[in-house]
Amino acid sequence: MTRYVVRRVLEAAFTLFVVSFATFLLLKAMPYNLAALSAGPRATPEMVVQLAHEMGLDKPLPLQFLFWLRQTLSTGAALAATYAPPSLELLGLGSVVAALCAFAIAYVQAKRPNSLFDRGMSLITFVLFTFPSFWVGFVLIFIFGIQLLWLPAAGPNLDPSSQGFSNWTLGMILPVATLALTTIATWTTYFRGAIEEALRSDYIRTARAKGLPENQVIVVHVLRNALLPAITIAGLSLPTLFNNVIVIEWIFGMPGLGSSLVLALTQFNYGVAVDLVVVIGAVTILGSLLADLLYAAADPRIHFV
Amino acid sequence: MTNPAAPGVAAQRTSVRLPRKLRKLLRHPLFWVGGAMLLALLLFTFLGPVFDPPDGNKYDMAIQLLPPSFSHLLGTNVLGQDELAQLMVAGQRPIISGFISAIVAALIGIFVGLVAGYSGSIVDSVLMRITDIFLSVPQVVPILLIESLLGANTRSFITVVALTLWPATARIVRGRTLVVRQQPFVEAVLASGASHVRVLLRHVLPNVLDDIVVAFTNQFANVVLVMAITTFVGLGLPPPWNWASMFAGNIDNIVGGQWWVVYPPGFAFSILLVSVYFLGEAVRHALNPQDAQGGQGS
Repeated sequence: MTRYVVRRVLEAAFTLFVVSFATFLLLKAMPYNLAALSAGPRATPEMVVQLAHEMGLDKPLPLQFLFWLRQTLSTGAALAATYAPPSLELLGLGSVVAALCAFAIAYVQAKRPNSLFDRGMSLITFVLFTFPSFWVGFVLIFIFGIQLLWLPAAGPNLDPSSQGFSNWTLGMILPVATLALTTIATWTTYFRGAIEEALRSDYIRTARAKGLPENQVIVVHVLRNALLPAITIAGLSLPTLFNNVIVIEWIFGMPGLGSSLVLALTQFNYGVAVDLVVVIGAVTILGSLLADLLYAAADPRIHFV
Repeated sequence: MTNPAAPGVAAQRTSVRLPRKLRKLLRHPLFWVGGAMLLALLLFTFLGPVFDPPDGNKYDMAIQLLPPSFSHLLGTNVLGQDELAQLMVAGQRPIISGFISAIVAALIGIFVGLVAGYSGSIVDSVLMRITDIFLSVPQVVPILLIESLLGANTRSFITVVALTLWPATARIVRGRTLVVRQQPFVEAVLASGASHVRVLLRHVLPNVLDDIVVAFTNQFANVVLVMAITTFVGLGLPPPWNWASMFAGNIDNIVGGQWWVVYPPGFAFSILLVSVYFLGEAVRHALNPQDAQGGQGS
């Protein structure tokens, strides 16, 4: 177990290193003066030279990278402390809701294939699969936020304590629903395969043959075994989920890593934007690492080499 | 009425299987539904502007935000521009750039996947490590960063999206290539003196074709969604109008209840994606040998 954990942690660290190095190279490859960009359009040439020196841009490339990395890590950590929690709340709640719904739908579909429910749900997930997240978000805002006035059309703002827990919860409903709806379609397909495979397997026949009650067969054997591939899928789709988190934060006007990134990029504030790129990379890579470790902990069949 | 024998001999190898698959494809309802939707959408965006008199760029503040009526079938936006005329023209670039980007990304992915899966060992590990790194980051993030740095430009946008989204296809193709490569017939062909390139193109590629079709439809959906997302937040396709920017530009009007300026581009995206997805499902069913026996999926 320890060796597996160490290997996965090293792999994740390597990936993060490559991602930040690629970001750095990308910035260097652009036909811009980084210092001039960071200094803004109204800076004098002296200010640009001064800033270039402060940013370490007058040093050789490898040193520049280390300099850049050190600065990015410190400023990125500060940004992450402020903006990562709201993004992670949305990501976490959205994926939990999506996973529960997808699991329930997939289970009924697997139990009653070709039933009316199965066909209807297949069609709905088919259609949801092809809906852009901003379109789903818009429809939800229009129906529940503007026509019916049941829920706030904008997401919660940065400080949950200032608005009270109930307002925060109300504000989170539509963003979480949007994220869940755009995710359920793909997950249902995968979960269904996993559940069908579990239902067909020999140990289920054994469990039934030895006279276990059906509930116990389902909960202990089918669901637990189908949970493992579900963890893998959730881990793998983390980057795709984050794509949607970016749009959802933007459309609901919520502060977070994604909306801050878009704001920084549309305002050409590359100092902040690059830090956010690295932070988002770190968050998704750590998330995948966590999913892998969870899988390893949950599956007794994995041999740790 | 031409010579029936000559092409028959040449096509002997494939003609045994292909017509059956084609018939299966033509029997599939989703093929007709998806095909009809896509055709209608293409006619709407590319032929529609030829027949529709109103000019999408002409604005008239006197008629701003009119609800749908006979003179303006989809109403007008906040500048008094005809929504229907704009919607037609606005579809051209998302569709064209989506297909180009998806095809380029699929070609890169197929190439990398075939090479990685066929060569194995070190080449495979290195290429898969690279795809892992690509897949570990939200794809929208590098696209947003590069687009912001390069400035709005349709050609660079298509390139950047293709270069970011190929790894998903590479993974799928590589997985199947690994399986096909280990089958006895590959060894037999190699033993009879065929080169690796020939084996790869003539024997491995046809066997992973159904996966490639699935990979392509997924790739297309992914490309269109990512393009829509980046354009929606303001960093993708540059002006003039396209569906995502129409959506983003008009979204503030929903507060006043003017749904007609936002629903049409949204539905247009859905129709485009649903039609390609349906077509892909139909082709997958037709090509999948396991469905040939009993699998009566709808």
